[in-house]
Amino acid sequence: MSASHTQTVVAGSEASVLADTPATRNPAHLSWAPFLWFAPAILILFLVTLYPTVFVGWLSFQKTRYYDLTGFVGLTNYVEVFSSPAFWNTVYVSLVYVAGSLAGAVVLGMAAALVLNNAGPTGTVLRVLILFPWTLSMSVVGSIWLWLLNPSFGPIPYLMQLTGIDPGLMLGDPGLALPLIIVVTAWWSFPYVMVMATAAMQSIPKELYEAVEIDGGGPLVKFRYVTLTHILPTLGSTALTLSIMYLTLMTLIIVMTGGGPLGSTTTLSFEAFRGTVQAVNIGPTAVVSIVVLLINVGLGVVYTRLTGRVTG
Amino acid sequence: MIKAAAVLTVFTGVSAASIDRAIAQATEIIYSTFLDPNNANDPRAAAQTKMIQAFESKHPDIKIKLLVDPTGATVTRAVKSRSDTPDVIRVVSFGLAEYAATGNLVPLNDLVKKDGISEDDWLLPLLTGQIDGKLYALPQDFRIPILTYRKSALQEAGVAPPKTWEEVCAAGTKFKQPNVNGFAVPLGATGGIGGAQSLAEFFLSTMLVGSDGRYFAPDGKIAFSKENFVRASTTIKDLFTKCKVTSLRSAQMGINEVHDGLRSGTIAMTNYGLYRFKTLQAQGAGEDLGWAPAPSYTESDKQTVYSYTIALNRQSKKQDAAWTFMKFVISPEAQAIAAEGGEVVSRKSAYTSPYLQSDVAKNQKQWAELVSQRGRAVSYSPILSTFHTILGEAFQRMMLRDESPENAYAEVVKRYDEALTKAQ
Repeated sequence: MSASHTQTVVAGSEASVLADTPATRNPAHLSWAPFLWFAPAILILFLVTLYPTVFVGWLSFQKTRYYDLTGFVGLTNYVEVFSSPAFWNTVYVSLVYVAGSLAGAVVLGMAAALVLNNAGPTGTVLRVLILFPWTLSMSVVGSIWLWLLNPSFGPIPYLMQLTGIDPGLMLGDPGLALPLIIVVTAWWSFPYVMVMATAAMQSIPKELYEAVEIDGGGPLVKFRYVTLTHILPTLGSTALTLSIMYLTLMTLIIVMTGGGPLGSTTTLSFEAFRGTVQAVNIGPTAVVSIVVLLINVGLGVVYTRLTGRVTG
Repeated sequence: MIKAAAVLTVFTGVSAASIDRAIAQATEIIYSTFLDPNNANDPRAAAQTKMIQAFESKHPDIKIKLLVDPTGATVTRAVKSRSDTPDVIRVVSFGLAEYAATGNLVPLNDLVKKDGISEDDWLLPLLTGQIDGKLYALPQDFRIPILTYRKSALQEAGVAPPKTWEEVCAAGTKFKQPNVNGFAVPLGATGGIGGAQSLAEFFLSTMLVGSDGRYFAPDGKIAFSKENFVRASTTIKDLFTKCKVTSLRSAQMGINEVHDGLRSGTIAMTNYGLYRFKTLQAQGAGEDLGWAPAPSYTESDKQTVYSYTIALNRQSKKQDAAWTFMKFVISPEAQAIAAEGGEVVSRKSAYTSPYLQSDVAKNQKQWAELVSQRGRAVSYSPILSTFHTILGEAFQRMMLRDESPENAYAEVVKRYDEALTKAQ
């Protein structure tokens, strides 16, 4: 009753404040002022994000000669792309790549965060060192791993040979190239998960752990019902951010495999890049970009909902 | 208020005059190149800087600004989107047909005739580089594949540098060292847009062409014969399987992996670009690195050569100044400077320069002779990078999935024809 009364008072006082402002006395001013203030931001947003997006959408219904539009072709480009087995293979490769890299990064990142969370000053130093891969550019990461995995002189195949394992063709093996790219992507990005998970863990009140201890709960119970419950929304939004990034990532693939062997590492984004550079008619390539965009928008919606949960 | 207006008017006038004077002082030409002037390890970049300085001191009214584009992707986009920059485009001759097809390069035949540029003072006649009767670019250098080898690896195996494919095959059983690839044949897609560029550049652009000199027709259709394709792919497959001179590890190698293999000595020999020879020596191979003419079916077969060329952007708003710069770049004077970077420069008369007469330039002179004697320019596809992708995948399938050369040919022709039809 009292809460309801307070709300009424606040609402009433807000209404009286609004009623006193010049804006409310002039309805035209009220409606244009926000747009005026936000105009520069909206203009920049339109130029760098909305216009290119709308243009790519328009391009997907066009036939082009390089970057010149030569005619509207309706859904022809969509039919061409969606009826191509190579496109569906690319979708499959992309999904496996995103799911695999994410699984690797989340498991490694969580493990690192849990181990280092209570390691005191040593943990801080180790966290800084572990962050190193995340600071490297993708082309540098690709070059390093290209050398590490080189079947002729790379250290990893050499160690495998010493232990009696035949390293095979490594990145030259169509069955092994994608898993290796996934491993490298996970290695590069797990520090990000570690940082986010650590930040979330450090905000958990210690009393909760003490309460579990009083109730006789062990480390597993603490992890399941306190740690995991608290960091799950952060972990979810981190995973979605990474998914969006993995889906649009191609530098690593350009450097390490060029999409091969036999198309085994050709993802949607790599295909979109290659099509833009190679194709004369880039309409079908625009369709591939639209597919990537739609998947990312879907992930973005989920992300927004998850971050909404975090912020309440 | 009046004072403020007067001050503003004077300021605007002075600014406009300064800008006008600055424009009158120098026209800025944007020149696209893959050579980064800040790369102190590349002598070609230093030679490029020196050549540009020489031009600017001769033509103080023209300033050269570099657009460094190592992969060529930026320039490709610029040309395809009808950008007015770069004004002068450095493009590899096998990519020229792709650029010319956009309609955004100026045919140079009339300019060459008007300025009396010699058509014969080149290692290969200037007009052999024409596309459908039009000269779209001028060659700065010539590049012919050479057999690049590690002397110690060949000595240990008791192998002399092979002159024919039969001799390459025969060397297979002699390489006993573990982890040494006797003769690398890179089928991989890394190190260039479109994939399998090394395979095409160092092997197939010669092997597919054969003795009839036909690679692609002016309309972009495949002009090499099925017979040549099957012979070439059988030869390469045999190197992997029957001769056992090529390790399957080559299947994923691109140009950079071959480079690393030659540096580290894990590749005993391969066909490679002469333009990397000096760099390989400097990066660890030293005097152990040797070269010989690339193996072929007979010892006197022609080899396909290509060039780095310069072309004039049709959309450029400074075509006169750009042409002045282009004329300087291919002049014997500028070519003599470019030679100091290790290039096999294109003008014959540049080879009388003191540098090219010195011992340091011994290899360059021999390569120039090789280009003159055994070099041959061919016509390329307007969708060459797509062709390379198709070619690389067909060869990888042949090696990794044991497909036949006939099936590889059928795959290449079918996929290429489809791609060309779509492009047209």
